[in-house]
Amino acid sequence: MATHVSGSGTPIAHGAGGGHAHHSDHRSLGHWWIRIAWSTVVGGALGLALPFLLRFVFQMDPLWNEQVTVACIALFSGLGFVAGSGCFDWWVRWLLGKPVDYDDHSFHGANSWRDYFRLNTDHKVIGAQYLGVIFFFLVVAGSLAELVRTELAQPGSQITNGEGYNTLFTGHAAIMIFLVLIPAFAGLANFALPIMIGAKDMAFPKFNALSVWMLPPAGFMMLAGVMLGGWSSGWTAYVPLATQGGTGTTLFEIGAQFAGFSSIFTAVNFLVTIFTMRAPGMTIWRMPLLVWANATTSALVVFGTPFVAVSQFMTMFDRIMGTHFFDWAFGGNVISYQHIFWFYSHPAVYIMLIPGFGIISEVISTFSRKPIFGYRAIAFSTVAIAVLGFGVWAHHMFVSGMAPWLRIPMMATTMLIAIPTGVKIFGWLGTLWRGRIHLDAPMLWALGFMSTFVVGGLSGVFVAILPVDIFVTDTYYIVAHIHYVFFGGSMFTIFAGVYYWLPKMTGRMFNTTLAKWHFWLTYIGFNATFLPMHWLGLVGMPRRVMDYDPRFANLNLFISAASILMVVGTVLFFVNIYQTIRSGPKAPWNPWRGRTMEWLVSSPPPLFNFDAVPQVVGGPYQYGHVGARHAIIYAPDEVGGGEYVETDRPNILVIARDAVTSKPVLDAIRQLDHNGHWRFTLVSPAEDGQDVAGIERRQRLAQSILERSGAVVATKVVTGEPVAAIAAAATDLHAHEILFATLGLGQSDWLRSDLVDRVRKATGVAVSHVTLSAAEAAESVHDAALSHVHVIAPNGVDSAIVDAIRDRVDASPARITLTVPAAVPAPEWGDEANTRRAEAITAVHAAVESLRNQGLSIKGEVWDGSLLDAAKAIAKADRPDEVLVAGQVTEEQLDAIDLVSRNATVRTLTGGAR
Amino acid sequence: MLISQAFDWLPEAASLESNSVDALIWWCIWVSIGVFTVVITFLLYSIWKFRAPDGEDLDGAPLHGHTGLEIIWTIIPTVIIGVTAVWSAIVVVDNEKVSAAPGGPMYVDVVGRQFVWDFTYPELGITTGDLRVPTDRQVILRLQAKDVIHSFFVYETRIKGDAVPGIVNDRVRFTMKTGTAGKSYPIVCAELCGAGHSVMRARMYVLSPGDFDAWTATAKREAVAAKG
Repeated sequence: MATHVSGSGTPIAHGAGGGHAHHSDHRSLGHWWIRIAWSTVVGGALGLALPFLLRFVFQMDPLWNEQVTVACIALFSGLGFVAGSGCFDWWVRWLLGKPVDYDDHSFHGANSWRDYFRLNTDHKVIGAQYLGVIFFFLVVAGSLAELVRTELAQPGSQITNGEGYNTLFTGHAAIMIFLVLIPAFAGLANFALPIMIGAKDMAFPKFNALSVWMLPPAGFMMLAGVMLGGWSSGWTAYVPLATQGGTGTTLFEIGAQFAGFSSIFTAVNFLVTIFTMRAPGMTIWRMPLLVWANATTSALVVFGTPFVAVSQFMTMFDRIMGTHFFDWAFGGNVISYQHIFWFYSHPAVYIMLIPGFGIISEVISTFSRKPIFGYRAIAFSTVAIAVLGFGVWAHHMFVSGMAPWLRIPMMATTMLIAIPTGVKIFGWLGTLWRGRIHLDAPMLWALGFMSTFVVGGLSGVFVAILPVDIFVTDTYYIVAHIHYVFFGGSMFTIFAGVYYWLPKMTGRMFNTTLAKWHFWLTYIGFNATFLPMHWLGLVGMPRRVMDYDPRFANLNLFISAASILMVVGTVLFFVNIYQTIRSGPKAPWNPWRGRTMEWLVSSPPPLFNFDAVPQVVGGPYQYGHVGARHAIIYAPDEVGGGEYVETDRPNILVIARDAVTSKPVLDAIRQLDHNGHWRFTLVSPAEDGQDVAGIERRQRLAQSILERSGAVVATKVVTGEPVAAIAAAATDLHAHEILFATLGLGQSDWLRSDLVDRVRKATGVAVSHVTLSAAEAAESVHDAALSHVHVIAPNGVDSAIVDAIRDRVDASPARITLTVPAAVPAPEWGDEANTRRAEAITAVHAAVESLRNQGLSIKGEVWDGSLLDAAKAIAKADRPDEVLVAGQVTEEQLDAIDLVSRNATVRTLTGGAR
Repeated sequence: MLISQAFDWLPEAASLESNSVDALIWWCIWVSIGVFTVVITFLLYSIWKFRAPDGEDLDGAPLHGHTGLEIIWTIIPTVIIGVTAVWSAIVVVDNEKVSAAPGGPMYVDVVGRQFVWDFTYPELGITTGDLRVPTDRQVILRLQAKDVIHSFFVYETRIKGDAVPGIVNDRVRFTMKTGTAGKSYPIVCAELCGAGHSVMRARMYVLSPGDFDAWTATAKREAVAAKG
């Protein structure tokens, strides 16, 4: 589905899938972020002024109400941030009656890292943006956790006081839940799910972008809440304690709205996508379990999240607007806050787990090379957990003083949830049985998850049991339990998912050793940190305390020390991600032999995922069945349709001769390669009597540059009448498309002879056209991917040196700078100096001209100074990879050059490395 | 068994109610250890037995499920859970039954406020900062709060209850064992209640019925003296 964007000529969309014209937004990153900055500030100023003005107009006293102002500033600056990011632009244009393009894809897809840092409507980019946001807040919340552990390393006050400590764990929990766990699953599913169901994108791409851009304001409000204080009532924000809160609580209450609405928007998007955009043949019983999991979770979010939004609004209104929802002194009911809150927040636990279950199903099946054991049982158990999940909320309130009769029914429903959860665990164990198990990083996390989640699940049954819960609730046992569920459960599945799809997202493989270190450090650190907390809770340590009985001092110190292992593991994780993106080896389409559809497209997938609508023909996990298929991915109609696999890439012929190494042509090819799954053949028509070797040399140069960025490139020189020759090549090579590179009209012989149109007619293949200026065409290649060789010829250039340079380039492609140190005598403006200089210039000119004609990318320079001066200056300015000294030089001179040449290898042109 | 002997898994069982709660906890612990062992053994065995050599490209056996097995592993947990749930319900109902013994239960009004507890004995008309209870007589606390939610918890009774502004929570009901006379236990606040949450502590002194009567007599005299 890629399209030519560079050059003139008609843009031609590849593929039959709807012909999306694709124009990138060309505004710079700076433009967007400056816009976000002023928009946020304007929003904040509005929030500052509005309550003041209104209070003035209505003559309220005092004019200044701090918390009202904080709430307005947070709300309006948050909306300002989202508006500044451009999420509303399209809708605003539509509202104002301006022309809008319903097929506007200018914000779709990424061509460089910059596109990940601004508005984008491509679900794959949005998935990555989600992960970027959650990784940032994972560091924030993790740091808060380490501060909590620092405080708890010894009894008594270490680094903060009671209020400060309460703020730390409140911030940790709220940020982990609202900014890490919930959006992480939205991010992973955003990337994988549309491809898994054979869709080109999510149902509402602009809405999708809005979801992700609402997260940073939410996160920064909570972060500001931690820093400004006045937010110490725990993430549950129970009234009346929350009512006593200050600025931080207000920021949390507004931030939770942003995070909550982000979550709701994504859920609506997933539901519509899953229900309406599945590829033909994708019946519900052929949906991968991740899709089942996200459909279920999205339903939970849509039903549940409004409750938490409302509970925070009601608390905020109580605090700043004088309502009395929960104000017991005015007839409000304190307990009803907990009912409303947990009616969402218990299902929220499943919102943070069910998508993880989906990931685990994918990973376990793939790495065991076995069909999922009891697919329908696992799918139904997902739905069962979700349905039951709405009938259990009051188990958080067994000791709260609510109606006593509610406790036993809620205990029963809660315990029932263990059954579908058990069905899943046993199903996964059954999947391992008689599989062929590969312990790659995603599988390690999945198996690690199974071992820790069993602990979290069993301790969950403990706390479901009413008399046991009356004993252990609000103790460290609960802290241990939720961390076994959220870290040993959710976080482990997130890591499994990130490692599983990282090659697909980035197109690069990660470092396996680092990934395994990350796993083992985290696994050991996690268990050493949280397992002892069960015991602490049972024998006498209540939760959320800054100070504790000195008899627990040693164990708490051990726990604090163990938690550092997880920090080290996480650092390795980030190092690994960075290295993968920067320089990981290229990933194949299907590194894990997965069978769901995302593994049947390229890594990274093409712009709109599929060139033609895929056909689903079987279940998603048909391992072990000879010839069984999940889906057939079709090639576009122009190449005759048919099935589309990693090995067949439609061929794009690039017709160029002298310009084949020019930057516009290389960029056009790279862009095509980035957006689609192509191979390229560089075809150069040679005129009669032209030096074919020179043309081939140029082609090899271009080939070597392109191959370094991962493109598949072949070369061919055709001779004879160009139209016939190109048409013949197009037939021979099964050309899918032809890309012409020519000079502009009036400069190009090819255009003068109408070559482009004649080829279009002769071949019947789509033709597009890149024009370049004469300067661009003549410019020597200056591509970082190409090694740079510096040839210094102290005794001038002769034909032997010219030949030697050519041989060097034939041995391995490089761009050349040829320098002649003329060593002009003083005075350098004297006649003799001028003569010497002119001679050198002529000689270099001749050599460069001759080598250019032979197809080399070369430039020449004449240097006034001596050989060593030249070598020094060159090393400093150009940083060549290799320095070749041509002509007669002594060993001492070579040593001296070697010394000044930094990292370059120094040789004589005729051989002999230094 | 060895592990259970190596260190205390649970604090002292000082109330009559704690025996039934502990029995339930131990049942849960053993069932959990059983389930955990089964799952982990199966997991490790599978990894050991079915691990594919690096670079191998074979598929596993095309097993899609086994209805019999799936029914079994649905039914067994259901039975265990059913038994546990009924047992738990019985324990709670038993523990919360109002004592019919002569004299009946002793009621104490407990008021939590940031960050202290006030204990008022309505029969005696006195208020103290520490709780004193007799052995062998059911104590029912009527929990209330003045400002935010607190939670009354004595580990050794296994029972806690929230003190919530605006309502009275009377679910903390316990009877101290005879042998606990003369001992005292920490009362912790278990529900986050603000900056002083971790220091909101009081003590519960357990007295033999005789000592308790003696203390009430003294306390009443002192209360009268203080008023006078």
